[in-house]
This record gives sequence, C-alpha cells and structure tokens, in this order.
Amino acid sequence: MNRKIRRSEGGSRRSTSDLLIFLFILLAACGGKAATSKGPATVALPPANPVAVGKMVQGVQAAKDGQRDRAVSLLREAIAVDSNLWEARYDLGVVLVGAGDLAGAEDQLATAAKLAPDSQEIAVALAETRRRRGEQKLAAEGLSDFVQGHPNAVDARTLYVASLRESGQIDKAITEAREVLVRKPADATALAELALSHLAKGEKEAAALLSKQALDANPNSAVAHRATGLLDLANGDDAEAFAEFRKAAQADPKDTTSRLNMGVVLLKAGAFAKAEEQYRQIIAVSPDDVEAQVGLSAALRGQADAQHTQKLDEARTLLEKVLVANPHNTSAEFNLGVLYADFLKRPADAAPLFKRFESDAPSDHPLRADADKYISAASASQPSAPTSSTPAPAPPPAPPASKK
Amino acid sequence: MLLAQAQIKNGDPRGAETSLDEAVTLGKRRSRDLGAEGKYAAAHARYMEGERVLAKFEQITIQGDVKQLKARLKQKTELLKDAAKIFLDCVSMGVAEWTTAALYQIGHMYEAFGKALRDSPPPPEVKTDDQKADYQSQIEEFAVPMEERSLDAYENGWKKALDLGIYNQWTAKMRDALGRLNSELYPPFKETGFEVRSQGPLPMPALIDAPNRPVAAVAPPAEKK
Repeated sequence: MNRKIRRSEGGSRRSTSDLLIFLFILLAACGGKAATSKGPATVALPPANPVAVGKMVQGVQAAKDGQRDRAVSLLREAIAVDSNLWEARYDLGVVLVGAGDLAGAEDQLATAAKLAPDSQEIAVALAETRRRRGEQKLAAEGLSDFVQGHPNAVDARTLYVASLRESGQIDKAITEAREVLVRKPADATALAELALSHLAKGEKEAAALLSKQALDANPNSAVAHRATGLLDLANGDDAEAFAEFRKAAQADPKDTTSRLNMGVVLLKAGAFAKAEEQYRQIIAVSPDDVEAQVGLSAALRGQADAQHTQKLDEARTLLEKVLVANPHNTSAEFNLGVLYADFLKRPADAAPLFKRFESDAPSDHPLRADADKYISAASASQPSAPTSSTPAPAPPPAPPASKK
Repeated sequence: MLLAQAQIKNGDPRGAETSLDEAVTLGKRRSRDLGAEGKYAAAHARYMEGERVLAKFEQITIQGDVKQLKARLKQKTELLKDAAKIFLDCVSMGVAEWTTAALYQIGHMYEAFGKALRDSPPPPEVKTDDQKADYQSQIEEFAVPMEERSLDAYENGWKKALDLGIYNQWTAKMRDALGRLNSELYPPFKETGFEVRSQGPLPMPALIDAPNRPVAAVAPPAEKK
C-alpha cells in the first residue's frame, strides 16, 4: 500500500516536473518572458533548440536539488545538442564553480561571454571564477571592457573594484568604487571595498569611516565585517579583529575567508583545537578548499602528542591529498616535510619534500634557508633504509605548465 | 592616558608619568562607575607604566668589573621586581588585551634577564680558563632559575589567555616563547601558508532557469560535429 502511494507520488512529481519543462519551453517558444530568466543576448543567435532547453531546465532543477553530478551531465548534454545555448554554458559554469572545477568553469563562462557579451551575469561569474583561480588581473581586464560598455552594471563594477584592489591597482579601485557609489550610494560591498583600498594605501582613518558606513548600510554584510576586522588588525586590535571575522562568518556561512583568517589567528595563538573547528567548518562548506586543508593539518599536528599520535597520521594524509591534487603547493610541501622530519622522525622522507619545495617556491622565499637545513640534516643522518610502510608521496612526473 | 601618549610623543617623560599615574589612580578609585572604555584606558595606562620601567631595565647592560657588575645586577633586579609588580597589578585590572600583554612582558623580562646574564662578558678580574669556567657556572646558577620563571610566566599566561578565549598577538607571542624555551612540550609552529587575507570569494550570480529568447518550435536536425 505504502509502496503504491510512494510510486504514485513519485509519478505525480515526475509529471509535474515534465509539465514545468513543457511550460518553460512553450513560454519561451511563444516569445513570453520566463519569470526568472535574465540577461539580454545581443549576438544574433538562431532560436534555441527545444530539446537542449529541456535538458537545461532539468539540469538547473537538479542543481537546485543538490544533485550536482546529474546537473553537470544534463547541462553538458544541453550544450552538446545546442552549442549556442549560452544560458546552459553559464549554468554549467556556475555549477562547476560550486564543484571546485574552476578551470572547467572558466572555459564554459568564457565561451558563454562570447555568445552573450551583454550579459552581466556572465561577466560577473567569469570574473569571480578568475578571482577564485588567483587571476585577479585577468578578472579586472575582463570587467574593464564590460563596465565601459555597460556603465550602469553595478554588480560588475563592484567586482571590478575588488579585482583592481587585489591586483594592486588601488587608485583605480578607489575611482571605480566611487562610480559604484554614485549609482548605488549605500552599497555595503562597494563601501567595504573602498575601505580596503584606503587601508591598502595606509589611510586608516578614511578606511575606518568607510567600514563604519558599510556596516551602517548593511549590518549583516560579511564583506563589511571582514573589512572592519582587517582594519582592527592593522590597528593592532587582534581581539576586535577576531570578533569581526566571527561576525562575517556568521553573516555568510560561505564566507570562508573570514574563517580562514580566524584559523590563522587561532593557529598562531596555539589554540589548535579551536583552529581545527574553523577549518572543519570551511571544509564542510567547501570540501576542496586547499588552504583549509593545509590549515587543518597544522591544527591537527598542533594537538598531537604521545596520546594522540593518530592526529599526526590524519595531518599527513591531508597534506598528501593536497599534494596529489596540487603537486606544486609549496605550503603543503614544506609542512609535510616538517611533519616527517620533526614529528614522524623520518628525515629521509622529509628531504625530497623540501627539495620539491625549493624547486617550486619563489627564489626569495623566506623559508629556503630552513629547507636547506632540513635537507642537510637528512643527508647527515645515516643512509636511510625504508623507515615506514607508508612512503612519502612521490614528486609529480613533470611539472605541468602553470596557468598563472 | 591619551595625554600621556601625547606627552611621550613630545618628549615629556615626567608629564607622561604624572598623567599615567592619574589615569591609573582614577581608574582604580572609580572602577565601579567606569564603562568598558574607561577600564580599558586605565589598564592601558598601568601597562604603559610597566613598559616605562621595562625600558629602564633593558637599558642596563651586565658588564664591567666585579664592583660594577654587582651594582648593575642589583639595579636590574630591583627594576625587574618593580616592573613585575606593575604588570601583575595590570593583570588584576581584568582587561583582556592588557592582561595578556602584561603576562607576556613578565615572562619576557625573566627571559631577557637570563639571556643577558649568559651573554655577559666575564669581568676583567676573571682571567684564567678555570676562573672563566667557574664564573660561567656561577652565572648559570642565576640564569637557569630566571629561565624557569620565564617559562612559568609564559605557560601560565598562555593557558590563562586560552581559558579566557583571548587570541591576540600577546597570546601568539607567549606560545612562540614556549616553543623557544620548551620545544619538547610545546613544539614550535614552523608550518607556513597562513597569512591573514583581505580578499575572499564574492557570491556567484544565480542560475538562469530558462532562456529568455525564442526557442524553435521543432528541434532542428542534430548539429554536425
């Protein structure tokens, strides 16, 4: 009986979903405006393929239901049917960002931007993806072109300000932030960005005034709390900074930067268990966050003692996982080296990691001398027979060309 | 307190001393009426008083002949006691930031004294190798307890900071010092990759539910790849 009811419920849900897809397609085919559709397309494109649109609608629904893999698969199918369906490419890009595939997302969004150069959503998503990949300058360049052609695109301009500031173009960031504020006077993000730009120039009083304005404009703005916290840090008021980072994390649970900052403060204070909590919360929201994994490994190492040696193993596993996904991550290389040398007492396993670190790190990295010492200590110790059943991770076969 | 800071900037140490004294006296006399800002200022003033004694303590170098050495050691010890008394008083005022700062400074003073003793050159009267070795072992008798007191101060201070949930530069400095003085129990934090960041991800725009442009009524033939 129950099974029957469930089957009938499932059937009704499926038919509702099919009906929705049909209605979407019908509305679009009749030239009607779907309630949540966005973004004009100025490049003359042939009408969208209804089969592709159907798959896209299903893909978006799957993404909203948390079925990320299914969403990716459906959106890819939609694009395979109609390669001009930029909306599906955009959606796929957004879903891939959520899955941590930033390179794949950037490819899709860049193609979407060529098909729909007037879409603010695409411009913003593409630039944000580039920021997350560490390509701040490229993000700023892309947005520069867009805001020139679309002076009232406030979201794009706000992100442009952030990208300019992060790529060191502070004066330009200040000018552009003012442009945003002319159009949207109480924009907390723009005010916070302006505060951070002034802070970067060492103008603390202006930064204080602006971060206060940002919080007045939106007391729940994570960016405004983060800016206030950074200002507090610059003023030497660590405790207030910590409180502001906490507020930022509460305001936006996805604001992993504030939690990362809290983790840093806690690690340096030696509050390793508290730091572990922060890093685990970041990983719960963003499972592939490399910095959180590196931070968590340090927090675990900090808690390890004779009674808690499993924490060392967990830290090692985490760092090895980071190095498999990011073979040139210098922090993971160095930290795993330290773990092997100082805590697992396996200097011979540490040496190759420090060598990898020296090969990957910038020539002026302050820890080069320390790495040298560890390498010398390892070679001074007797030639090592295999000391453990778990070998240190091997270096990658050949360094792939970095995109940065 | 602000007046004292201005006086220090303008090279008026006596004026600053008077202002700090007044700020601390006022803060203690009216501790029940004071709000958080007032208590903070009073504790800050007391801390600054301690810093001023600490500066005098650090100026005294341990060197010279035996007579000079005795006098200097006596003076340095007196200043250490005075500064420690002021810093402990600052701790008793119960303001988180200045409590941790003062606890750190107590540990720092003992550590600095121990190091100054070890680094001090033997007086000219000490000439032979035997005399030098003897001198060094006598110095060690003073330096070791200093280091132990410093370790105690850092350890208690750091634990107190963690108990109170105070995670600031002073907590970090105490943990750092523990790594330096007792690396067995408190391994130094050597890991890298932890810088406070100003940039963070901004939210991605929302998904587009469906295209806002014409959809062909009938699917065209499949695209040739």
